[in-house]
Amino acid sequence: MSSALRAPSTEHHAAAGAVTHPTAPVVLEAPRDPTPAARVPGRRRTLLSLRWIVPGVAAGVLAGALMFAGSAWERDSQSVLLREVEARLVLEARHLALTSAAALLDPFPELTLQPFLRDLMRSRPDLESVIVLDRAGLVLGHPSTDRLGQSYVAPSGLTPVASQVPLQAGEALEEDRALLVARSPVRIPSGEIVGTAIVRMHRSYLEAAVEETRQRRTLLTTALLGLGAFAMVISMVLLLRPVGRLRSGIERLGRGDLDTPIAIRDRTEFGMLADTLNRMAVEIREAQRQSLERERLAREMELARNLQRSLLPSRSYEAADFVLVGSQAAAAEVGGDYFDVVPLDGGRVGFAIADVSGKGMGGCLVMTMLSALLRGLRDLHPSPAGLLVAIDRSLSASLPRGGFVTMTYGTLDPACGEVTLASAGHLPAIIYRAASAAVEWKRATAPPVGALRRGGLATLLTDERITLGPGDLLVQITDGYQEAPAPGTGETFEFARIEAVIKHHGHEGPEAVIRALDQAVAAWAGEGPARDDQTVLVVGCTGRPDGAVRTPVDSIGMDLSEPLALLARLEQNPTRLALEGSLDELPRIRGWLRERLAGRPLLPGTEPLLENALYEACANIIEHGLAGRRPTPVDLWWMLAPAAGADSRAELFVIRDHGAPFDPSRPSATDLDDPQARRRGRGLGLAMIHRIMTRVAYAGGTPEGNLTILMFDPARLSAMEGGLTGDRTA
Amino acid sequence: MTERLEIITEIGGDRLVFLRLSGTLDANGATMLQDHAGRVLEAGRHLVINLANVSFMSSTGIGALLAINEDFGERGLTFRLSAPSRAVAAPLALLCVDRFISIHDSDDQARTDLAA
Repeated sequence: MSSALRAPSTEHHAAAGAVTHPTAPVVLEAPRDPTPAARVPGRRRTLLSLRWIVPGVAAGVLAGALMFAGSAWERDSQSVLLREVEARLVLEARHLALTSAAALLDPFPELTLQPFLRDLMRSRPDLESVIVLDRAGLVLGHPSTDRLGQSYVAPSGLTPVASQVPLQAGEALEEDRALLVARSPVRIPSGEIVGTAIVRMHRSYLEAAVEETRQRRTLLTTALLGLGAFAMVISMVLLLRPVGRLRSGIERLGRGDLDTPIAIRDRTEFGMLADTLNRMAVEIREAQRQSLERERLAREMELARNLQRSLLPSRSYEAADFVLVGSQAAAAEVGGDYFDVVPLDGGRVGFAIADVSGKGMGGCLVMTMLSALLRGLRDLHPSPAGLLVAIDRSLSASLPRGGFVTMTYGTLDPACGEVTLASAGHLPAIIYRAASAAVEWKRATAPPVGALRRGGLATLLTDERITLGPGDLLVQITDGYQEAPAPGTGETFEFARIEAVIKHHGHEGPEAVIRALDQAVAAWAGEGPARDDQTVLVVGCTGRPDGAVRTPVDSIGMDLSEPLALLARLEQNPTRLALEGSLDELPRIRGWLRERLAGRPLLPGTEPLLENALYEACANIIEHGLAGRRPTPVDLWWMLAPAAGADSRAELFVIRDHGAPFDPSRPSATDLDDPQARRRGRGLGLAMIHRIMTRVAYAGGTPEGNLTILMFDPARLSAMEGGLTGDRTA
Repeated sequence: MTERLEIITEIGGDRLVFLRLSGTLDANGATMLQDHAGRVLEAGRHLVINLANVSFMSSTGIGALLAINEDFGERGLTFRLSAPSRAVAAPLALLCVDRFISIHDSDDQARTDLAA
């Protein structure tokens, strides 16, 4: 036998504890000092703002374009101007020739031409000279009288101009470095050429005109360039202003400030970029919040787990020939399982196992109250039922709405092996009998602590006594074992498998049973933390089978290993009620029962309850065992059997049917707290049977049919009196 | 042999209907009761079922009462039981039905409770 209480499984705690350090501070700000790997090598970079680069480049490009365009324009202008001047000069020469034609026919053309040409020269400073020659080349017209009558000498070095100006016959256009000269023949009306008109212009005039044009253009270009550059810089600066806000917003995000959004409302790409960054900040903030919440839950969970661990007994308990061994494997999420072993007066030992509805810190706090109440009240209430009722009174007000605690509390008298047990809605206790390697079930007689209002638990809870012989075990579990799901299918481990493990390993003692249970559930549910706490408490008798321990006192003489012997006794019993295997037959139970119970010293209200239980048992057999078959008889017997009290007798009912096996001895798994279960309404009959009858046993598939055995102890009803049998209409 | 269930419908006010049951509330009776309750539900009225003259109630009957209670609760209507006989009070208490359905000693109490 084990000498040490198994400490609660630490593997799951360690795994969960590694999630976070409970006191680790939470860093909200982004790290300011990047890691060496992330640090950017090299010198600090100077910021070149786009706000200045873009307008600068644009202004440069604009200036270049303007200058190129200006240069081309200048070349064009010079060419046009030159062509214009040349054309004008030719026209003036032609005009002078026409004007001079008549004068040359005069006897003294000098008198006419000289004043005319002098006036012409005065009005035209661009002209160098205006000359009219006669046929022989003598100067007949000239602004200066000194040159009249002289032979005309053309300036040396004159070359014809490659001009696009159309010239008439005899006309010429020539030039040298200083002059541009146009010549036109002077014709009289008969077509005869009588002289030549010459107009000479200063080239400097032309250059001055070009220069003047260039200066005007340069001035205009400069003004336009300045204006354009200014407008461009202003517009770029305005348009690119969001870049600065965007940059400062990103820097804020980098510093961890996720609460100040980037305020850019325009409809350009900058606005879209700012919206994206703002959304990103919100998402980061939400992720941070969730991370903090997870950390908080993990810390609370660790705290709850430590609290739960601190409440569990730290060693096994040995008393005379008995040992009490407990074990708990904590779930990933802290469940509400609790077990305890406490010494009592007179060498007795108290033991408790409980499952608090609700998980996490809330469940743990209820567990703490439960532990304190158990230890404070244990010596005031020798009866386990009394103690559970006292706990119910104290704890109910503190439970959250809809909260409850399933709990079994028992006391062990090591001197005689007697265990007194009361269960408020907890899973059945399983008793392993070493002598037969069989198991018995002790079911809860009342709903959980906190489930009934106005102290209703007191009317339902009763103490049950069993005696543990040598090698016998009393095994109590929580639903973490029974409800362990298989991965994939989700099928739960269920009582049948638990019973099989206990039957197979019961002879090896409490430690081996616990180990085998753990291994079987782990193999069933797979690796990883359990979904719910798995808690087991085993009371084992280590005494030798030498009669030192008393035989059980709750035996009713039903040896189900020999059901046929029981049936043989019943066949002699004249109380048989033969039903036809139809629901319509069931109302006959009432009259039959009234006859059977006539004269029995039973409390008022017993009969309707028993009628309910028998009706439900037969109805279940007919509906499930006989469904789809030809109706076969269902027989019902009544007899008296020894009961727990020294002189009392229990009512014993045996039902025999010949249908498919239907075992009503398993408790109903219906959870009426589940609205869907309430709507379905299934399992209520079984629940009713188990709450009325002290014991339900089943021997299916015997050669004589299936036997369902129901025992009712009148002492049970006396405990219920006032709660169940009170006539509200009375 | 079977005391078949009989149901008397009584209008208890603008929005209240009483169903007075007598006989056996078993599987057959449960079906009948659910039909009646369904009509009251369709009419959008609150329901009180008087159990004073019910001589026997099976688990199917209790299941029917729980299902009716769920149906009325879903529609925001009130469902009450009143004056359960001794034969009915015991199974109701056994299954702690009063955790889910309010049970009153008399119709008047149920009516007063609904009015409040």
